[in-house]
Amino acid sequence: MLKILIENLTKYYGSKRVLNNLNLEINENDFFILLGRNASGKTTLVRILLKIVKPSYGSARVIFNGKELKRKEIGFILEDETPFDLFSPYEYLKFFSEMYSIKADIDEVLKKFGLYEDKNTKIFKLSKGNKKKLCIAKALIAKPKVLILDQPFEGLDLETKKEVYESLKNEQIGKIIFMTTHELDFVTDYSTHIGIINNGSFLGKFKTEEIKDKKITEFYFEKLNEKTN
Amino acid sequence: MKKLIKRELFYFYLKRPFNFLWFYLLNLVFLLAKGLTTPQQDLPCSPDSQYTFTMAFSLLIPLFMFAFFGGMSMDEIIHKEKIKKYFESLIALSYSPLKIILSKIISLILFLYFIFTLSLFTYVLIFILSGKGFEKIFYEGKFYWLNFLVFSPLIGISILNIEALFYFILKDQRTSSFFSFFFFGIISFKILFIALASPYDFFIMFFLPIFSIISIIGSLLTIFVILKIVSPENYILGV
Repeated sequence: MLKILIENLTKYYGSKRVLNNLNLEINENDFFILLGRNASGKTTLVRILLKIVKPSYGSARVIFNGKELKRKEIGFILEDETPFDLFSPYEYLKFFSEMYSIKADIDEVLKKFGLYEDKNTKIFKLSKGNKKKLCIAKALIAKPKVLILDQPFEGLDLETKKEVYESLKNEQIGKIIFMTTHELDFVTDYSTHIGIINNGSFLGKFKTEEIKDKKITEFYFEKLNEKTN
Repeated sequence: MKKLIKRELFYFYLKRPFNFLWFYLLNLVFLLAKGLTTPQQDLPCSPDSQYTFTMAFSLLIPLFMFAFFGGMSMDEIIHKEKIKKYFESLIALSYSPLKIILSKIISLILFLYFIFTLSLFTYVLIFILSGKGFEKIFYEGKFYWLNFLVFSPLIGISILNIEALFYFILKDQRTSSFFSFFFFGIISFKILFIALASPYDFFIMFFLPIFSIISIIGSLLTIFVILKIVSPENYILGV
């Protein structure tokens, strides 16, 4: 059984509290999207899940069959991550497949993301959308059990966002996809659950099907207002 | 760590032939300057201070080359990588900051030593082609060349280690660059001062070998201790 378990998680940077006693459980086959405005604590939560920073109190663990999942079994995209400019997409994915210690069919992955024609082009010559797709291909190359994506749609047009969502949807079975964003397009079309975070406090986890009738923007602001009132 | 070193060598050095050429030519110019300006005779019975200084100065060419070129590369290989979140990615893949910085340093040293050796071969070849024998090219003696090839580069590498540490833990690139050049300047000036103030034999037989070993151990220990004490979130995040 695969799950992400966050218990009483609090994080301070110096004297500033950025996460405040978070509790959350995400299960296998969930496509969980965490919504929140800028500086609400989304990236810090991702960094703690990926063990880039340590929590001040509490814990955030990715568990598989009762044991903590190895870090190399988690695919990820960091906020504002850019692939290495001087590599080609092929070299970039080859490097990461070596880092994950796997033998991947890189050509196949490039075809899947529509990058095969640019396989030997230097990455700095690719469009922003293709660079993002390459980051997603990197996150998926090792066929990880868990995908953690921090704002992967920053600066992408609607068509590309939809394409990326489609590729993620195809990967969802038997996995957990944990994604953060402050962009609300397509959120209810692809996610199974939505969470909202504001000023480091978690406002709740909601089933997407329960809010489908409402507009996501209305729902989001309703929840924010509930908390402030 | 082998995978990291391989990527560094491929990405920063093989993919950038101008770096390669620039360092090679710079090395060669310094070596030729050394070959053409040092006295072409045996060591005098009682060397004067001018002679000692010239010899000592030429001995420090590898130190300057390693430390100077190392310092010049730090912005590219450490600061820009930090901005692009490369270090965060590696930590997420369970590489420690110590492994990350060591892989950067080792690959830079491999590159610098390779180019240094290549330019030295070219230097020897130029003198051979101009009709000089080995005894004329290497007239300074075994100890001189041992210092030139091993101990002097080791001090350069120690300075490079500390420069890498500055770039790794300081968030502001200008501050890292200032501290690196300041540290490089202080150490180089001190060594030149000692070279001038001490007998030539003492300088090459005791001072340089002992100082190089102490400095390499000291610099590695400093990296290890600082990275143990300071948490990664203080230097890797929010650049």
